[in-house]
Amino acid sequence: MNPIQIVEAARPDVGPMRADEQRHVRERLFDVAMRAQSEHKPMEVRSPNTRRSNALRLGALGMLGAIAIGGLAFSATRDTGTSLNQATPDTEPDRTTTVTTEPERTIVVEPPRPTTAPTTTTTPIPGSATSPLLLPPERTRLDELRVTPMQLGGSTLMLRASDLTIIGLREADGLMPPALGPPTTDEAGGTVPIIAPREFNGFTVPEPNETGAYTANIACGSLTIAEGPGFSPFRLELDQLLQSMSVTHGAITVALPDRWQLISEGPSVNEFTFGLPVAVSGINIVVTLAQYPNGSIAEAAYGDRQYEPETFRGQPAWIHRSASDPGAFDLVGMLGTTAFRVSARDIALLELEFVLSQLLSGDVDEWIRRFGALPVEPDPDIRTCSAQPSFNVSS
Amino acid sequence: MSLNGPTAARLYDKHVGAVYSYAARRVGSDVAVTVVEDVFEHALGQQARRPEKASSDLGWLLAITTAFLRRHSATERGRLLNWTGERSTGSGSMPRVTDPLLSSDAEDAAVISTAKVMAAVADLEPEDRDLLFLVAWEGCSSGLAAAATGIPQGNVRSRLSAVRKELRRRVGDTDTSNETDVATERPTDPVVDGAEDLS
Repeated sequence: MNPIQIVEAARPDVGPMRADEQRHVRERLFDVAMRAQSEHKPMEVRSPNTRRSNALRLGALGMLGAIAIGGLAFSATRDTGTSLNQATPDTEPDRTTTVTTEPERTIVVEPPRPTTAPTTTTTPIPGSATSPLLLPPERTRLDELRVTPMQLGGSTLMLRASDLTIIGLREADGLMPPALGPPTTDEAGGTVPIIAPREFNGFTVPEPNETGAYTANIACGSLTIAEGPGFSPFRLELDQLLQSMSVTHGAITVALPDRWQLISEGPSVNEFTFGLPVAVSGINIVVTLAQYPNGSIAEAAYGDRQYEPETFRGQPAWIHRSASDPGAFDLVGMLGTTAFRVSARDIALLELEFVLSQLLSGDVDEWIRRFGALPVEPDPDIRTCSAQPSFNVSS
Repeated sequence: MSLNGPTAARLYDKHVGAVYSYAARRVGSDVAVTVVEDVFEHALGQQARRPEKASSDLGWLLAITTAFLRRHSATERGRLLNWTGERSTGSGSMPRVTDPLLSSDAEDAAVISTAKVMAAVADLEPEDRDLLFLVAWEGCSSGLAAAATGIPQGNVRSRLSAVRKELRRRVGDTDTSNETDVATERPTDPVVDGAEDLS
């Protein structure tokens, strides 16, 4: 071997750069804070408009006789946020009547970085075509950060059955999944009772999986019906829905049964998710926000959870409260043209509104600048047929 | 070219791995993180302007990396002079017993040979060492190596040949007496076949 070959043979194996180091460098480079880098003390912000705080405020006003000054202070606490509040300034519910038993709580979020931007800058409206995303303030540490690519040709439907349960349907274009027969024995070798697949109008539906989802092969794709665990297989309402559906060459037609409602429908879109640490009265929690620009509530809510109607920021929304984890919830709704899902625990919806009001409006380019490029290959196109039509729903 | 916004982020995502690997092989993984940050901070800075003649983003970044590695020449020299070979993944290398009671690096002829060569590499001119590592460790094509070192592309092969001779002279190892020219002995050498990217 000549010396160069010896050097070549001695090439060290260094492995890839550690993911956390790579992200920390990125955050430093692109001016996004990381957990250990925050140079500012957390900003403490009073939760707005609890009954107690209002009473204190009124008392102070009376004692000082400075109603005007007090009013300004009140306004100041309301106006610390911003772009989100600006979106629907006149449609917020009466907060003093919404939260009547909550003690005064302090919400601590990471501070926005001091800016030299001119004060005359017009704040973009979140959820709009030009600013579809809410982004955390810069120099904010995040517990979670990911982009889940859209499913090519997929679409989702959210229905409310006559018994007020929620049923989600998702159609996915692509290769038909392999037809796997149900297991006939369990791990111990015991016989597993088998629920026979049922034939419907142009498709066959096998028994549900453990999360309560039924997946049926259809032409050039698949159809999944999800309602969550805890329901009897092929219960009355589900059977009623399946009887009302027909599948012809991949086109799915749903004639809604009586007293059923179409809640939402929409195509699959990219999901942008980040987890924002928040301290509520000294207790650290994480508010996870998933956003779907140009998406639908159906997309945001799809899964194995049951949702109930709720009002959030004065707008219709849907909430799932965990039975096994008191205090935890998932909330879905629309912010302009962007669907969102917030997952959190031990925080009131009013406080959650305040947390979201601290976020900044942005677009996908801003997300990429701060957090990195979207997945290079979001979803390989494995479709062997042309795109299938989405759901065709009629009452 | 001034870089900002998504373009900068994409540049970082695409090339951070190559820059890190190059730096880590030369100065170790800990220092490499600092080098990576320095390189991209410089490259993405408002004052940074990519030369018009830069053939590729990677070549431009490797040139910056090479410059920043000079700040850590003492670290690199220390690693080369104290080469143990345990970091090597040379093809065909045998697993080595590291217990000093059972084996010793001093008894391992291959390690001795590598250590002597690495010590000789430590004494090379910085430009020659840069070129050597870019080609031998990073698999750079002649164009990429030229972009990263500033050596004219037409001079890369001759410069590398001179490096080989200089190393042979410094090592004085008879095992290298039957060597042939690197370009003719290794037809798949990226310097010869003109591969564009790092392996």
